[in-house]
Amino acid sequence: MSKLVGKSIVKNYGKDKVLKNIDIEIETGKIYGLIGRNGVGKTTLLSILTAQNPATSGEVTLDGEPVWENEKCLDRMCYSRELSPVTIFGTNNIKVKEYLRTAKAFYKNWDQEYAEELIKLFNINKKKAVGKLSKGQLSAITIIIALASKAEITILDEPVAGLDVVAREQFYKLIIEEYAETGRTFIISTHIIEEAASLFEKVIILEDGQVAIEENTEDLLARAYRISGQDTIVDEATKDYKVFHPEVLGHNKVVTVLADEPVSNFDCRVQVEPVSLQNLFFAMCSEERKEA
Amino acid sequence: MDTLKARTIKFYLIKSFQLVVITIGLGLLLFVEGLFFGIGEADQMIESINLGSTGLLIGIMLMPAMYAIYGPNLYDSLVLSMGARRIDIFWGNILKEVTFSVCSAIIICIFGAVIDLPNFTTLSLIVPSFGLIMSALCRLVAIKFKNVGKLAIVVVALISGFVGATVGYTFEQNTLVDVFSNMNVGLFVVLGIIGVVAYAIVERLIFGSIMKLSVN
Amino acid sequence: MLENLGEDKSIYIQISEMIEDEILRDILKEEEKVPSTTELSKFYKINPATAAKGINLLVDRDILYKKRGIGMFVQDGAKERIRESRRNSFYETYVKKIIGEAELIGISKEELKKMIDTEK
Repeated sequence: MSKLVGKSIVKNYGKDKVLKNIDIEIETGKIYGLIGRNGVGKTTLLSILTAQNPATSGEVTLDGEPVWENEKCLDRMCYSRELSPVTIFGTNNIKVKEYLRTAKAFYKNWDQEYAEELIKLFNINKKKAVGKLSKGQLSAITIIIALASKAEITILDEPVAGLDVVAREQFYKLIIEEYAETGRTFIISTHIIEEAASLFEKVIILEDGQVAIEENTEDLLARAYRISGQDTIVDEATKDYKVFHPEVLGHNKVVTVLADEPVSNFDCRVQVEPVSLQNLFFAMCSEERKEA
Repeated sequence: MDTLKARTIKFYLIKSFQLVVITIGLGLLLFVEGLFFGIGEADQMIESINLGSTGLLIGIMLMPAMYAIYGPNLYDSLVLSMGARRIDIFWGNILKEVTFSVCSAIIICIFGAVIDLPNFTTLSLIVPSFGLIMSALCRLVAIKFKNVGKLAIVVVALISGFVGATVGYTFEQNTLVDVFSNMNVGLFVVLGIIGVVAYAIVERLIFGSIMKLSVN
Repeated sequence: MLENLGEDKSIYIQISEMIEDEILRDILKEEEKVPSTTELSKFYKINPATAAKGINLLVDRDILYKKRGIGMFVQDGAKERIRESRRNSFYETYVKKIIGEAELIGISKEELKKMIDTEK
């Protein structure tokens, strides 16, 4: 098993500190989910991991070798970026065809047959200029390039943004098929957590420019609970744990608990329910907002 | 040799040949236009050849510069996002521009031989070297002032306009070929060499910024 | 097997319980092949590792076994083993709940017994 490791990564844009000391370890052969609120630095982190953007400080290595300007490492990765319909000179006039041709020229393991198949599946007109595509079509092209690159480590940034529900389902299915067949590593950032959560073997949650959580999704959810009941009893039952997003209705209180280990002996007078990844993330972020 | 370096170099070489084709196309277009507008006039053929050759020369001087002004933001950014190395992008651009200049020089020589203008061949050093230095300067501007790309465009447009106007003016009086032909051959060689040296210096400046190149 | 996955339990537990239910209902017979991890993960759009975890849970409990290169099959006697383990948890999962609810709304144990007796 290979490892893509980011060590003490810091990224500042001028005075703006986007990433503050990120340590991250991606094991190959897994599907990772990267979640975080808008502007938390997901795209920046992914760019730095693939050496597309320089970090202010810190180092990224793949199997111990620095990724920066390293032919051997770069050849193993594909970070299919969100296509921009505009450039600083106006509409992006590069044709889809040219985009795909460039991808074919650059990705070592490019699978043209697969690419053609996906183009048909997503119903893409290759003769169109990138700037003339809809948001969903732009997403489809990033997905096509990512999948057909057949890169060992494939990164998709917001691949389902703008896709309709049918195309999203198609995308999840494609990822699973491809993963089951090849065991490629996928890192997928998304805001539609609910749909994709069960796809992720591991989840990385970015918060405030730092990695708040990097853990097996099942293990993480196994130690997260939604606890509700009479307010004093809930407070008593959860006092030893990390509590997020308390809400009160009359004498009732509901909190989200993230314990260090799975808990089996909550006070029997409180209601204990599991939490979905989306709700856990929401609770963690709501806490942030309250403190701020 | 299927290395990342080779793939990057190939990408820029293809872009270079595309530019050569476009430039020849520009010359041909003006030539045909000259033929079309000059119907019935006695010196129709000569006028058309003058027009076409001027177009060709302007293309050689400005085409790579135009590419260089949007290249770093568009194509360099694109191939960087597809895993290319910055150092290969740097050398790829140089190779692209040098290849274009060499092709241009050859085209000028062939053209000079075909139209039987011996003086024309002497242009084969100075015109491409002007193109070289223009493209390097434009690329430097595009890389250094990525965020003021639109301003850069305006600057290049002004330069192009100035060159165009000058050329247009001389074309009224004489043909561009005539102007160049009347100059001293020795001066040509000196200017050509200065151009190449200046190109190297600007490239060295670009090299200092190349590691900061990032995807937009 | 084709019901929706809920959020009230870990996905891999739901997968294993679904297969158990199929065996209990004789939809999956002993010595019959069960859907592969890939098939399960594609159908439910879940990570293959999660589907595998659910399957392995059943392998550990001698309900499924692996035929090398062919797939997973229902073990001989699997149905009986599932019934036994479900019987063991029946009190915890169902009876306790019923008694708790009965107490809350004032149904006495006698009344509860009578209800069970009259239910055919």
